[in-house]
Amino acid sequence: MTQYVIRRVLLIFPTLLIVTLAVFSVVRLIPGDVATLMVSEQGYGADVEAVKHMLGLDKPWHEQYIKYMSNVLRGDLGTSLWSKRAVTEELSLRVPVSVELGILAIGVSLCIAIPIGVASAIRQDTWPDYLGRSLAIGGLSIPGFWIATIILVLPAAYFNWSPPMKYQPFLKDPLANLQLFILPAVIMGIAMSASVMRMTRAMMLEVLRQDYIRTAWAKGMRERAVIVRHALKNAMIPVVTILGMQLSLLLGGTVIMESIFNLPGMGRLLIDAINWRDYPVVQGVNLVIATAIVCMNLLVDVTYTYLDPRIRYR
Amino acid sequence: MSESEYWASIMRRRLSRRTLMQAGLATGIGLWAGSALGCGGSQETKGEPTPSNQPKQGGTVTVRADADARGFDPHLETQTQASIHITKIYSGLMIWNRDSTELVPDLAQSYEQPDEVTYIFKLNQGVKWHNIPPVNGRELTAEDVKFSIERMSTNQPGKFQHAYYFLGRIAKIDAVDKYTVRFTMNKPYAPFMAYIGSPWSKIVAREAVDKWGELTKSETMIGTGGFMLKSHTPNVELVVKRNPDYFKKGLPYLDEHVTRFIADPSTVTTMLLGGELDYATIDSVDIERVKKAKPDYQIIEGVSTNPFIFRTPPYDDKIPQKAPFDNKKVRQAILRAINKQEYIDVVYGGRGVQCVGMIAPDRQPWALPESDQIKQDIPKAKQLMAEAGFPNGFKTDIICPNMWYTVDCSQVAKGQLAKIGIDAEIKPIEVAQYYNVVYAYNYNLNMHNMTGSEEPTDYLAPYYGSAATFYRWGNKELQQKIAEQEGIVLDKEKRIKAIQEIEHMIQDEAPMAPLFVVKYSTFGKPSLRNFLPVWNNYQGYYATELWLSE
Repeated sequence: MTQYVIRRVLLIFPTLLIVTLAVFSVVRLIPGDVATLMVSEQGYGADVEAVKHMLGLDKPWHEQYIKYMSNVLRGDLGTSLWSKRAVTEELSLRVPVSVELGILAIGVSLCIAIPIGVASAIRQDTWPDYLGRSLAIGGLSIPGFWIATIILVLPAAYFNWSPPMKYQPFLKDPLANLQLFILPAVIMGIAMSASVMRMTRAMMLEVLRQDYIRTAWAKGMRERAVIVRHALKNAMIPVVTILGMQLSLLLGGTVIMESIFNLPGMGRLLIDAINWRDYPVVQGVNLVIATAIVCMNLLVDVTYTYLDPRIRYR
Repeated sequence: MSESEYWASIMRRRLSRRTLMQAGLATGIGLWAGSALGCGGSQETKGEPTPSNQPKQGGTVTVRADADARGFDPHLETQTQASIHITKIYSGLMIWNRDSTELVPDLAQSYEQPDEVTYIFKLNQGVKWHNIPPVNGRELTAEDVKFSIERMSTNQPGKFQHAYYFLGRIAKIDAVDKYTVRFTMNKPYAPFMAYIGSPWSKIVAREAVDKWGELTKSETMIGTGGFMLKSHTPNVELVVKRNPDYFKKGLPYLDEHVTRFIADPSTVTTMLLGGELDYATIDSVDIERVKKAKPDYQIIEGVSTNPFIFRTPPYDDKIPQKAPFDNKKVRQAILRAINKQEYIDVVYGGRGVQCVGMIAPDRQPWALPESDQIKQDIPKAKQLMAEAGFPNGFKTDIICPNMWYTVDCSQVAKGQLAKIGIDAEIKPIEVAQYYNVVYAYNYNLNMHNMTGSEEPTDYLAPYYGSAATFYRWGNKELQQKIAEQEGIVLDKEKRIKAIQEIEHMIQDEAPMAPLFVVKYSTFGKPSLRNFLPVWNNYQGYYATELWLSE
């Protein structure tokens, strides 16, 4: 197992190298360059080539990439072409927001999906099952941003009430922080719980039909022990896979919630950087997301061995 | 037990009362916890404002900007998101008044213009820089003014975005004495004073520039303005506090002024209704709702100074004119196919003002009067099309940035052009790519939202002047007239006449149709006094005069 983990960790580096190469190339191939954008804001557009030279974008592509990677290996992800802030500084402010939102959303999702999925499975084809499945379809179908807008606008319009909208870091003011995060986390958690619930139900139905479950019942074990200790644990493997994928996607994919709830997360940073062709920021954010995805996959794989002792890695 | 019996026993199982009560208790605790965490929002309590005209010291006002500034250096930046903070913290020689119709002194106590090329400013004495290292509260002098204007005029393309104000125009700047600065122009230059009052022509400290180079970061903002930086949480808020050494005694009235960065318009409405914002400009779709929910709120209405324009392809000596728009009759036909009010009604629900000429209607006395409006005239437009050789019209396309307002305006344009036989396909383009296309002059028709300023030249020269780059129009006579009006310094009536003549020439040439400007509504709490609408470039400066009656 240790050897497996070490091999996987070592594989992260070539993976990230390929990611940086791909992002570095693609972002420069997108039509519309940053130099033109910069001069477009002047009273009289100046020489675009002069701006490219100022930004170092007139150098050959491979020279730019080598310089970028040599800086990355020293922990320097570059400087924003617009704000002149270090990319690491930008990320240090944004990553905690996205991570916190992701973790809270996952937590809400699990609190909703697992109990409903289990109840739906053990009460198959009864009204709890129908209700659970209907909620799941609703959660999958109704856009989260619509729910978010309704939750914000209706109370404000009719009751002059709005939730707190000012971001406070958790360590500075935990209560204010949670007050801001609770709504987007719940909304996102509801949306995510739908697929988790359906997967939980499906896996539970399959597992509950297994021989070892029948043996457990036959031994006279309590229902809670059968469901939680035996059935649920074995049903969790695909669920953990889904959760791992969802958490990775959450890091950069929450731009709408971030905009509505005024959260300075990585989603908004990435969208703004793409719109403004802020190449170092785009590269930096993608590197962070890629690293998170790779690490998350490793964590998920390791979790399998805990859930199912039959799984062994060499 | 067989498998079927096993499942049958499961199905027959009912919820016990104990289980139900446990579930109910858990749900109740969960709901209570959720409400305790979630119900931290504010509730606006209505109260009658104190009927008093005497400004009161103290209080904090919170407003909104749609995004954090990319940088805060007044000589490098161009965004409004930057100017709202820059005008609070920095000062300039002059500043536009609240209506942007007249320049009033700021750092300058007075100024005189002994001849067409000379401007002499007498500075207020005892003006102190913010007491922050490395400037440490020393007195501002004429040398600071000289340094700043020379800095902003640095010829470094792409970096000093406002160099065009004075670069090549000023022969010399003299610090005559500690409190007197004299500008001598190369030749008469009418835009000089307007640009001196611009939100970007701010005086910066040499020590700050020597230490940091670019004053891009918020912590480098050291000025002589009414407010000083207190804190900046990137992408969350920027807080400024009263400058106790502000040279205008008694100002500012507020203790603090907070700008929150909120991108989503619905969120802005929500926060205004919830009382978290003291004043905000509201989207047109939400105005009636806010009026109904907050009948006691003050409303300030005003118009933008950035017109929507619908333009044909540019040309000059190196860029051939694109057919069929090289035919003046075609361009004039397009101008007469346009119903400007329809744009306002369809896109902004009636909240706008039609443009007549290139200069925004609110920029008086430069803008053309309504009597000079070229109105929609479909029969005339069809006649012009027939005379141009296109009795059945032609196919073309309209490009626009993929912003909802330009796309919607393009759809209105498409419908109007169809009436004279022009079949236009709309092509929205992502913003960064849009500028590439526009800069390459590679389009047929284009829906655009231009920017302007208090200086009328900014509506003309960047598009029709000889040094224009955003757009090119190869009419030499027009270019010459634009250059000539810049030299009319002392006779304002003569300059007004010259500018309006240029606007009439442009109407006749019809390279573009100036459409409309948007009308905005800013809502403010009843207790606010002296606030300016959010879209005003100088609302940061006039925040020094803002006060709360309770």
